[in-house]
Parts: sequence; C-alpha cells; structure tokens
Amino acid sequence: MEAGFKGYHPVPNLIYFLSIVIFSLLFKHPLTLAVCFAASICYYIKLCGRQAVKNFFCVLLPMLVVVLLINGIFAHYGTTPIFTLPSGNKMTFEAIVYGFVLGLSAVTVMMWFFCYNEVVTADKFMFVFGKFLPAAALVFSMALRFVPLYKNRLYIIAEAQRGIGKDYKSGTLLERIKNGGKIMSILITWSLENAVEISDSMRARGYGLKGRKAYGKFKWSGKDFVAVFVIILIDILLIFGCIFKSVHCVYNPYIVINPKADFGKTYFVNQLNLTLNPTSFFGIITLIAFTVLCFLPLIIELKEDIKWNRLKSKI
Amino acid sequence: MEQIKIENLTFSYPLCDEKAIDNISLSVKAGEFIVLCGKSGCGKTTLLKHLKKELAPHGEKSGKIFIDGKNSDEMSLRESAEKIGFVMQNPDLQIVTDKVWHELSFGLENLGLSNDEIGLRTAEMASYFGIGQWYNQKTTLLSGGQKQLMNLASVMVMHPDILLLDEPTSQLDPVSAENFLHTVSKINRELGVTVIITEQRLEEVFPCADRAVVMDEGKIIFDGTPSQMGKVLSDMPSFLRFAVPTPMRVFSKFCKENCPVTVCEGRRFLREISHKNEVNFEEKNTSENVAVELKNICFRYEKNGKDILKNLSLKIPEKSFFAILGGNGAGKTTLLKIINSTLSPFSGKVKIFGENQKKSKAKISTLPQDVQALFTAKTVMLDLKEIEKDESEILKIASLVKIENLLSKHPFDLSGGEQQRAALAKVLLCKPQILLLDEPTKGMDAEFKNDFANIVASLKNDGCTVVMISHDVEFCAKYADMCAMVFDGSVAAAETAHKFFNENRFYTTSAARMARGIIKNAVTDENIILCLNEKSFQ
Repeated sequence: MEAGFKGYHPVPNLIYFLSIVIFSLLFKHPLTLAVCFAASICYYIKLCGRQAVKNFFCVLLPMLVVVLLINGIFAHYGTTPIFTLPSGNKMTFEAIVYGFVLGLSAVTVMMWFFCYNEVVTADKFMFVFGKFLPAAALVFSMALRFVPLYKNRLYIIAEAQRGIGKDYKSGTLLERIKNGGKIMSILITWSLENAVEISDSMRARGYGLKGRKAYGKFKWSGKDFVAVFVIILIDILLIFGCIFKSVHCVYNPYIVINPKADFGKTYFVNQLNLTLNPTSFFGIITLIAFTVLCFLPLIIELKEDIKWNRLKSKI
Repeated sequence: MEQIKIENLTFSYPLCDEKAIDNISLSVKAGEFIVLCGKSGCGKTTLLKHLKKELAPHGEKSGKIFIDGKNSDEMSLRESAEKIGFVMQNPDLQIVTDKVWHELSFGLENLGLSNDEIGLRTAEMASYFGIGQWYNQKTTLLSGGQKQLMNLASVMVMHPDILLLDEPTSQLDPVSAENFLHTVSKINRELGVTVIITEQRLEEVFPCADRAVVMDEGKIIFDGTPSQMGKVLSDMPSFLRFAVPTPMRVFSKFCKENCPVTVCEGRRFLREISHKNEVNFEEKNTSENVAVELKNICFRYEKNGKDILKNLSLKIPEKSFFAILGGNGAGKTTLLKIINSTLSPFSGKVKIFGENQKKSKAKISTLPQDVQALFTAKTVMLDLKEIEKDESEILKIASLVKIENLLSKHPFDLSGGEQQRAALAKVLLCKPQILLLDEPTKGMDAEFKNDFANIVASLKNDGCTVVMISHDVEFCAKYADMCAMVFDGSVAAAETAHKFFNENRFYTTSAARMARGIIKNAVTDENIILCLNEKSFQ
C-alpha cells in the first residue's frame, strides 16, 4: 500500500481532485487564492520533490508573468490608469491585478493537475471508469497497450526497410515520402493481420459472455469512508458559499473585495478605487472550509508522518 | 474413461481441395502430456484449434469430438472458456490489456466473478508462476519469455482441465523456452492438467512427454511414447529425424528396446556401445581477407546509460558463414546494427573490406527478426519487383529459396516458414556482398533448416559473406564456419565452430554434452554416429 493520500481508494482521490479544481477556479478572493496556491505548491513539492521546484521556477512562474503582462497590456477594462503605454493604451490597476489573479489561479490549477497525475494512476482512473462503462474501460486499456506496441513496431519496420536500402532518411524528397508511406502501409497491414489473433485470444478466454465485471485491486476501507464524508461535507458548505456569494470579489470596473455588508467597517483606497468590505460570518466559515479542503492531503500525510515517528521511537 | 475423444474427424479449408485433417481418431486420458509433432502445414494447429470450439476454423467438417463425453459442438462458451485453455504461438499477439494484473484477471472478469474471488485467484497464480515481482508492470515492458509465462498464467487462472499450446516456445530464446516448458510440465505433474502441445523443437519437450503423436499430411502416422518412437524412427519421414532429440537421432538404429531420450540416458548408452574414443577436428579453412573488422567498439544508447558494447573487437573473414551467439541482452543485435551502420559507435572503428565504413560502397543487407516488416506489396511477385525489375532474376532467386509456387499469394497469407523464405528472397535480390541475418532459424521447422543451410552454402560459393545472430546452438555447430560468443558487451571467444563447441561445456550442443569424456572432440551427432558405425562394422 502506498503512503498518504496516494494510498486511499480511487473514489476519494477522484472526488477530491474534482472538487479542488472546480473550487479553485470558482473562487477569486485574494485569501482563497493565497491559501490554494500555498497548499498546491506544498503538496506538489511533497509528492515530486526537486522536480517540482524545478518545474515551478522554469515553467509555472514564467507562465504567471506572461499572463500578468498580456492581461495588463492588452486588456482595456478598469478605471484606474497607472501609466500610458507607447501605443497609447492605458495600463490600468484593475487589469494588472486581474492578470495576476488569472495567472495565479492557472498556475495553481496546473499544480493540482500535476498532483493528480501522481496520485491518480492510470490503474485508479480505470477502476472508477470501469465501474460505469466497463466496455469503454477495456477499450481504453487496450489502447494504452497498443500505442507503445505500434510505436515500437514502426521503429522495427523503418529499421528493416533501411536494412534493404529503402531508407526514409536519405534520397530525394519524393523517394523519402514514398518510402515513408510504405512504412505506414506495412504497419497497417501487419496490425490488421494481428487483430484477428488478438480477438481469438479474447474469445478463447470467454470474452463475450454475459455478466462481464471489471476487476479492481482497490479495497474500500474505513478511512476512505471518512475522507469521502469530509470532502462532501466541505463541498456542500462551499456550494452554499458560492450561491450566497459570501467570498465574492469584483475586479471590473473597479475592485471590490467581499460583498457589501451592513455591519463592520468598509475601507476605501481612493487613489486605486479599491473597496475593502468586511468579511461576513458565513464568509469566514467558507474560508475555513476551503482551507481545510486545500490542505486535506497534506494533513493526511502529516498525520502518517507523526504516526511513523512515534512508531520508530518505540522501536 | 477418455477425457477427449476424436472420432473420424475430417476437415478441409474453404476453396481448398486438400484435406487439412484426414479421418483422424484419437483419444486422450485425463492428465496426459501429449506432444503433437509434424512439419509446418501438416494440420497440427488445425487439429488443436478444433478442440476449442470458438477457435475452430471455418470449413467443411465431418466427424465428432467429445470432451468429457459431451459433443464439443454443444458446449457453451462459458464451459469451453473454463474447461479448455489455449496458448498461442506469438507472445505479443495474445495480450489484451496494458497491465500484468489486468491481463491475469481478464478471463475472470469475463466469467463475471466477484472482486474478491478474482483477487484471490490472480494472487494465487502470480505466486505459483513467480510473477509477483512484475505484477504491477506494464505488459509492453516485459521480455518475450515473461510475456509467454504471463499468457500461460492468464489462462491457468480460469482453472482449466485441458491446456492446449500451439508452438508456445518458437519465438523464445532457449533459456526462456526451457523455463516455460518446465512450468508447463509442473502444471501437468502437480495439478493433473491434461496438456497437448505442438512443437518444432522436440529436444526439451520430449523428456516431459507421456505420448508423442506424429502427423503428416493430415493423418496420424505414429502414436506412442517417445522412446517407442526411437525404434521406428528410420521408417518415419525425414523431417522427424531432424527434429527429435539428439540421443534419439543418434541411437535409433542401435537400440532394440527403449531408445534413450535425455542426454543423461544417452551418455549411459554411449558408454556401453561406443568403440572409438576420438574423432578428428574438421578444420574449415577461412579466407585470409577480412570482410568486416571491428576495433575497440564502445556503444551505449543514452549518454548516462550503461555500456551495451565495451571495447569490442572482431574480425569476420570474407566468404565465410560467421555465427554470433550469446544470451539475451548481451548486445548481439546492437552489434549487427553497428555493422549495417544503423547505429554508429560511441568510439572505435568499423572497417568494411579494409575501408572505413562511411566511405565503403560495399552492399550490406539485413534480414530482420520480424520478417513481416519487409513486405510492402500485394503479392510476393510485386513485392520482389520493388527491388529487382528483371523477372528472370526474380525467378532464379525464387527457385533458390523454393517459393516459385507462392509468387502470386499475399505475403501475409503465407505461413511463418514461407514468409521467412520470401523475405530472404527479397534480401538476396539486393545482391549483398555481406548478408546479415538476425535469428533466421527462429520458428523454422527442422527440415527447412537443412534447406536454409544449403542456401547459405550456395551464397558463400558466390562470394557472399554471411553473418548470423543465433540462439540455435545445434544449427551453428553443424553449419557455421566460425562462431563468436558475445558476453557482457564484448567478444568472449571467436573460434572455428568445431573448436568453439568442443571447448564449451554448458553452452554447447547436446551431442557434445553427451559425448564429453567418452568420445573426444565430438560435437555434432554425425561425429558420434561415425564412431558407432565403425563398431557395428567390426
């Protein structure tokens, strides 16, 4: 069994990633963004180590900057100009901030996807998929086998043709195209020929009988039940949060953070046309729930680490 | 009571006058291990497929097959899937899914068993077959031997009573083949599963077999134990004499009672009857000129990868038949690719006829392991015309490799051995000065191996240098001029064939193993027969 959240059943794994990706796209509040970003990068580094750090600085950070610049330069909305570009376009405060928000949420979602790749292996995905669509799942599994098989076969054919002087890498362009086409034609003939044998092998093992079931080697346990329960509970809270706009922000035409409230104190920054409303009680609950959701895998990992250390010290 | 009973079975393929199976009756008791042999195209595969209803080919059929007293036509798909397991020839083409564990559970999924039961059965099989280590692997990453073992396991999880195997080891190297046959024999002995297996190489399978059934032209011509077969071997068609284990081939004329089958029995027998204890070395003269020279070749696939070839040096004399032997992953195929300049070495020099490889205009052609990769056209004739326009030239080569009657067929309709010949024709039409062959004898029947050796000999006469990679020790001992052993990325030994096999103790022919310490310098069965004949004359 694998450690941490990876060791959980595919169902909580999938529900978790589905919820986290949807909610990190829905919430645009600076606090949720910050929390979500922090959680995703921590979990990504925990899962992939050095590779994650490298990936973050070489790919994701540049991406964030590019989104920020493009939105700042080309977007025309907003009411607070900061300076005028040589082209005559005005760069607004709102466009820059919204560019940053967009970039950050894109980077965060991508990091969640990288984590997803680590946690939900093809086996796990197939398990859940196979419960609903067993036939499609089998086709998918066969496709996963055929892609590397045919790739390798293409290489074998190209090499064999080269061995008798029919090279696709040398000669005139016309000859090369002709030889390349032949290689593809052999691949297709060969593969069709083989399909007959594969179907024989499937029928010989009873494919086509009624009542086929998809087998998964994953077992459901108590902790999976708890995880699913917690995730769904948080999901319900967050959906209410969305409906009542309790952590809502507006970035256009000027920035308003949190919805208008009858209580507490509202701050204005006049030079930037920025309005800061107080957070409602329900807003705080939503934020806490979202924070728990973001850090859930890390909490699980941490819990197991502590358990290990305690066991180790006993030995 | 018989488990399988075949009554007067006759079968012919559509649009074909000849009968593929001609009035065969056969009964098999539960728990028997039967070897079905015959040359390719004799109808053994057709017979085997008839025992499993869903694989039975279409055509005209008469006669009946009973399995456990029930007519096989009336068996349901479920019964047949549970009762009869079938393993096919090509390890790659039977695999359906991408993961080993999924492949093992595939059959059980079809039967609709519960998750727990599938888990239990696959776990049990995986440990019985020693698959535990690579249970979570992707199927594409396995070696040929592992793939075939997985195919066997994925059939055995369904707990069949009868196991049918159609030339399961023909695509495997000797070590994996032996390992596979041991497992089959273990299943037979420990679980009492009835085994019917067809094979080209009888050397390893005969010692495990209870019964051998020989087919020729759709008829059964012999049915008895392997050692009984030894007595009547001289009356059998010639293909059988080439295929049986060496001890049987050597002693069939000399034994009245049971003929020895294994090397161990052969040694005992040889001690009693051999007279002479030495044979002369056959010295084969090879040319002084060097066709291919490799000097200190190093090669690796990735910059930080491990060395595949390490400081390899080798000289291949002109107009010789040169065999390169070695285990799996020793670097044989890589070496071949360096000679035909598909790969270029990391360091070291390759000289072809004394010239630098890049400058050399010498023609080098390669026959790959998968010969299907060569065919591009609709018929064999059109395919050959792509290389050579002149029809008389094609006919000349076609008669050399004996494919005159196949020229109008589609290359993919030919049997394995025929495809090999057609591919050889295509390669020969390139008129190579150096011909490279990658395991050409894999899957060839014993009789065609003889023909193939003759083709090579006539090429040599025409001045062609033939370099062959092979696992086939017996073939190399008999026909090659020189042998080199590649081990761990360099050449461990390069000698004339006779000397090479005489010096090796394990990696050598069974004739050499049998005669060790009894007849000096004997390497091939002809060497041994020579000593025996002389005694019988006295």
